Amino acid sequence: MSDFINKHHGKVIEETIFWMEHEPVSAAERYRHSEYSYLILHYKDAVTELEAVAEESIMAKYSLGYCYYYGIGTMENRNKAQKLFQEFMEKMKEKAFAEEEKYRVAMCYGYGLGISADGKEALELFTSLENTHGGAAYEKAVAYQEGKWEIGKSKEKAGVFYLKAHELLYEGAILSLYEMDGRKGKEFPYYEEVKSAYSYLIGRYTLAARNQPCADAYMRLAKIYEEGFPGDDREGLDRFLEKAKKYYEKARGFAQEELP
Amino acid sequence: MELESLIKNIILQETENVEAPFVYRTPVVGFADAKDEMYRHLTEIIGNPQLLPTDLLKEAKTVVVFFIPYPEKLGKMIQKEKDIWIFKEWSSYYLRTNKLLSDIAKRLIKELDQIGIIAAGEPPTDNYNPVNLTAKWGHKSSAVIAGIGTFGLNHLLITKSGTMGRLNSLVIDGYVKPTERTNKPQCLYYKNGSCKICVSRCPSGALTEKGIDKFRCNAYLTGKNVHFTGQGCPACSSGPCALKGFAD
Repeated sequence: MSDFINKHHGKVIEETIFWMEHEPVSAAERYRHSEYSYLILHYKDAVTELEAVAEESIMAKYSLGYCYYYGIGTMENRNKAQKLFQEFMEKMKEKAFAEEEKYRVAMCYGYGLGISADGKEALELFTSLENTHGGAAYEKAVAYQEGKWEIGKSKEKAGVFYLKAHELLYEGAILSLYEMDGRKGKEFPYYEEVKSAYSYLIGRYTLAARNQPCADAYMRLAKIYEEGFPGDDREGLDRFLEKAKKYYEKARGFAQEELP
Repeated sequence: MELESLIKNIILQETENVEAPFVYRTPVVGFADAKDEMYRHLTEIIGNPQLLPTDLLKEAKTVVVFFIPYPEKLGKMIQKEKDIWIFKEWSSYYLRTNKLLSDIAKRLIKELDQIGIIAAGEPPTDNYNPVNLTAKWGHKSSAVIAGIGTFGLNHLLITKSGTMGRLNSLVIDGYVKPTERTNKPQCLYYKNGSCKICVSRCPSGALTEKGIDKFRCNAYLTGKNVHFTGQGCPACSSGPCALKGFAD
C-alpha cells in the first residue's frame, strides 16, 4: 500500500476516533471539528460549523472565507469571502507564528485575499514552510510550474515540490504532477503512486457522496470519473465515462432540488 | 458419515445460534482430500507460494471448507442498488460473520479434539501480507478443490448459494470422503459470456475481463472506508450470482 495512503488514512482514523470520544464545546474545539468535517469532505457540515464559530475564532474566519471564495459547501460569494479574509489579515498579518497561521497569511498575500497581492511576501513565507507544510510545498510547485510571483518557470523544480507536497500528505499533489507531466499513463515515473492516490480519492468522493448526497458531491465524483483513470485502456476509460454520465445526471437532479 | 455429520451439525448449529438481527442462509460445506493434486498447482496458478494442507497439519487427511451465505434480504438490497455500493449492513455482516467463522473453527477444533482428531487452520481474514496483498493459504482455492464453488469473473467464489457470504477452512487429520467436484462454472460469464455486471459496476475499475488489480481495489476500499469503520465493497457481489450459482 502507498505510504501516502497509509499516513493519510491514519490521520483520518485518528481524528475520527478522537471525535467519537469527544464533543466539541469550546470555540477552539468547534473550529477543530470543522477542520475534521472538511477533512472527510463533509463540506456543508464544515461551513455550518464555521459559521457558528467564526466570530470567536480567527482561523475559522479564514476557513469560512476560503469556502465562500471557492464555493465549497456553500454558494460561492467572493464579496463575503474577501470581507472574512480582510478580518483575518487585520489580526494575523503581524501575529502569525504557528505554521498553519503563516501558511494562511501567505495564501492571502499570494492570491490577494483580503489584502493587496504581494507575491514576494507570499513566496518568502511559503519558502520558510516548504519542508514541513504540504500546502506550502504545493504552492511552491504551482509557482514554479506557472512562473508565478517572479520565481522563474521550472518544471523540474515544480516536480520536486509536488513530490514534497505529496510526502507531506497534501492531497492532489501527485495528481497535479501527473497532469504537469502530460498524463503519460504507465510511463509516468510515479505511476504506482498516482494509481493509488486516484483510487483512494475515488473512494473518498464515493463515501462523501453517500454520506452527504448533494450536487457538489456528485459533481466531484462525476469529474474524477470523467478525467479517466491514469493508464487505463479505451475500454476502461469508456466505463469511467459511463459512470461520469450517471453522476452528472445525479448532480443535476440535486442541483434542481437545491435551487433557492 | 459420522464425522461428516458431526462437522456439518456444528457448522449449522453455530450459524443458527447467531443473535438477531443477524441471520444466514444454510451453510454450504465441502471436503477436499488433503493430498488432492490441485494443491500442488496452486503456487503456479496463483503466482505466489501457497501452503499445502500438510504445511498446516503434518498428518492432514481432509480440508473442511464452509461458506456461510448472507441472507436473501441483504443480497436483494445490494442487487437493487445502481449508484453507490456503501452499506452499513454489508460491513456489519462482514464483521459479524468473521467472528462466526472463528467461533465455528474454535468449536470444531475443540470437539474434534475430544474424539481424537486434530484440526488446524488460518484465520478467515487478516491472513494476508499487507504489502503485496497475498496470502499463503487461500480459503477460496480450497473451496474450489472441495467442490463447493468455482471462481467467477469477479474473482470471488460462487457457490450454489451465490457469492455473498464468507468462507473459512480447516485442515483435519480425520478422513471425510471428498465432495464430488463437477467443475461446471457457477459464473454466467464463464458459462456463456452473458454477464459482466461485476466488471461494469466496479467503482474503481480494478476489475476487468483481463483480471483484477488488487492494489487499485485496495486503495479504493481504503478511501471508501476512510473514516467509516466499514469493510469491503459489495459492488462485485451485486450481480445475478449474489444469491445463487449457475452451474445447473
